[in-house]
Amino acid sequence: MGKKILLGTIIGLFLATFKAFPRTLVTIESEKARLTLNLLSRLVRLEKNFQKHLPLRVLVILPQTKSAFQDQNIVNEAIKDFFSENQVFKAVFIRDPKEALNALDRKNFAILYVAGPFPNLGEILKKAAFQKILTVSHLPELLEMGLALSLDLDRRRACIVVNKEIWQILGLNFPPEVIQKFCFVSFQK
Amino acid sequence: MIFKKEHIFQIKFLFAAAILFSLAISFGATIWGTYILRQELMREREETLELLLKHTAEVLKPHLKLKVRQEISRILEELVQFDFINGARVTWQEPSIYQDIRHFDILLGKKSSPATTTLSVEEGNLNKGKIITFPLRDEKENMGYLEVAVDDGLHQKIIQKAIFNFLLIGFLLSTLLCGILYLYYHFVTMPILDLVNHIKELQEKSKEGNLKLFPKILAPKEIENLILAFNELIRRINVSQENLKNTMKQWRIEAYRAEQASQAKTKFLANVSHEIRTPITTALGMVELLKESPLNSEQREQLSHLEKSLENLKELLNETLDFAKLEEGAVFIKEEPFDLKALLEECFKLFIPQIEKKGLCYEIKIPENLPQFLGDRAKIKQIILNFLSNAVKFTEKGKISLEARPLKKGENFYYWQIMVRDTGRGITKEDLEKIFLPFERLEETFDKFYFGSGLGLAISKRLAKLLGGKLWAESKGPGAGSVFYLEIPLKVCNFDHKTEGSTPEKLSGKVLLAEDNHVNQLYFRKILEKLGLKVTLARDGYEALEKARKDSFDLLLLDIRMPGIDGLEVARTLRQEGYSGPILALTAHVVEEIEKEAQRAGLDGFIVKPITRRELAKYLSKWLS
Repeated sequence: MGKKILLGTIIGLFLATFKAFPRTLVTIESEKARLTLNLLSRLVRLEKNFQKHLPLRVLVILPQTKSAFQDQNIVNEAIKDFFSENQVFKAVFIRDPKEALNALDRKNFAILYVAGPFPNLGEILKKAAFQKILTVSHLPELLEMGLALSLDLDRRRACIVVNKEIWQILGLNFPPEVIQKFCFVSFQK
Repeated sequence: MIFKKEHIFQIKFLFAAAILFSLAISFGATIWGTYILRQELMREREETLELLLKHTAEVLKPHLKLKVRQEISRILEELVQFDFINGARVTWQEPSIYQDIRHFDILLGKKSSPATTTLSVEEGNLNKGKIITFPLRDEKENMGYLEVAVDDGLHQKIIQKAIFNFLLIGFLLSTLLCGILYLYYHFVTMPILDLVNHIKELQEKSKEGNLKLFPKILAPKEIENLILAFNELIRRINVSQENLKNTMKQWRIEAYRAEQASQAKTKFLANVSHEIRTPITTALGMVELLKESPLNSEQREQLSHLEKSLENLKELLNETLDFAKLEEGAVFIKEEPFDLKALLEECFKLFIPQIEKKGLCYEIKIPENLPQFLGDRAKIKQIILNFLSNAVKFTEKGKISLEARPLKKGENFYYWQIMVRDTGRGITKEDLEKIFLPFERLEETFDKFYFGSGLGLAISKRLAKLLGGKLWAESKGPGAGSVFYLEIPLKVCNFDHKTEGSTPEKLSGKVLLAEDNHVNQLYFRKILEKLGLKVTLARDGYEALEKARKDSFDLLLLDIRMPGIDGLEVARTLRQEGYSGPILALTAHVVEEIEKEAQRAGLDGFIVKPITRRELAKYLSKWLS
């Protein structure tokens, strides 16, 4: 009996640590994600169409990693924390990227947030654009793959980077002051 | 003593100089070492700090871009962990994205807090230490800066520690050097100084017998070897001194014996000389007196032969005695002023009757207006007379000439060459050296007998050497005549000298003649009276003393050897009693010792017998008017 209690305590402590510890960790990527989401929360409220459908349905793809202390996990946890605390969005988290395509077909999402890179991301982003879903990530390198909006802090003048071609497909309606802030980048060859 | 003081001063000076030098080196090394250390530390710190700040800046930048204060604080805290950093502060111009977000908030109707575009995070104490600023660049654009308060205390402590260690090592090295110097002074210098003092002590006490050895001391091997060598030297000196002492003792005995023998020889020579001269003098005196008496031509010729034989005998005796004196080294050079020209002419004049008798021509060539010279007149005369005598003797026809010429003229001396040239028998080349050997006569070449001892040229050669000159003969062979050369240096007489006057015919004065020999009494009385002098006779020393005390005389003529008290004793007694008139010795002695003794006894002059009337008159003219 005693042994069982001890084992249970250890497992409990482990799980508690697994759950609690990553939240206390802050990484550059998690902060980038947090900043991107903060920006997104403000942008959606400034777009005329999004304003009408609040809270917006957001599909969040969280790539899975095996270790509890991987950077991606910290990013995932930061994203989850953000969405849980924010009332503007209604987030659906998908861990398996294969399910993403089905999820895009089945439910009516306004925004797709990509927490990290995964194998069939290009296909997903293409489909999302086709369905006029705003795709967002804190990883600006995904823009080239078809992502609509990201945040580039590594540039000399940090700015909101927008994929010009995708943006035209989406047909979003932002005030000119907001549009002025965007950096449109064309990836058409 | 001066040497000793200087020596000690030198050592002390070296000692002090070494200490000062070592201290100077210590301090110099300390200052230099500290300076170098400080420079190195500062350089290293600068490099470390630059590297650290560069690294920190790179780590900080992403967090600054995202304004992750927690991470920025953590990084700054880590920076402050370094000992030499007291505090750190980062100031960052936030990216434009944050301004965009604020702008969106305004568009959304939110009341935005006052915009703060600068992020500043500080950790530690920035008020303590030197502030160093490192720029934070983002793609070459200054976006902020990182400041650190650097504490130099740690470096100062290291430098202080280094100074202390340097000084300590320097002091220890100086002390070590002083110690080595002291040991060197104690074990090397001091023994050498002691040795020097010991040598001085030995010099002062050198007459006190054996020299003392240097005591054994604790010193390095080299010094010990030096002392051992010194002591060995002292031992050898002691042995040598002992041997020398014994030799000297032996030598003194031998010298005493030699002196005794010499005295005996001198005495013998004096006696022989006296005993031979006395009868010759007497005989010659008698011949001279006889010549004044009425004689027929046959008697006069016989008397002439007698006189000549006596003269030859006298010459032989004189030459033998002269040579003996030269061999003995008892001949001394006198320096008296004389007229060279007059001397040479006087010598030549003596032979003119013989030259004329032989029908020979003659010539004298002597420069005019010569100064007075200083030299041994008698010896030069002896040499010239010998030359002339030979020339006259061996020349039957032709000419005899005497020539004198200065070879060198200095300010104070002349180097004279005097030549006697004849057209006589001549000398073969082989015999030119032989003729200067004693008792050497070229009899086999003679076609008739010539009187002579064979000593004349030998004596002349020795006399020339004594006078500092040289003598030689030249001849082109038999029948070609010969030339005899004398070269001598003569000093110029720089003081006035009364030249010798001519021989007076008459003198006036009262003379006491003390002479024990009856014939001599007769001879001297006769010639003195002939010179115009009033003569009182004393037969011995006592009588001479008594008469000299009772009566007053212008001149006392005392024979040295007389029965009772001799002439020297008479002169000594009279001088002691205060007699101030001239006293002359009259003797057949020729030995120098007797002349010196005569001078010590108070005699004013020395008349050597036999003496001719002419010579006596000339000599007495110095004392009598």
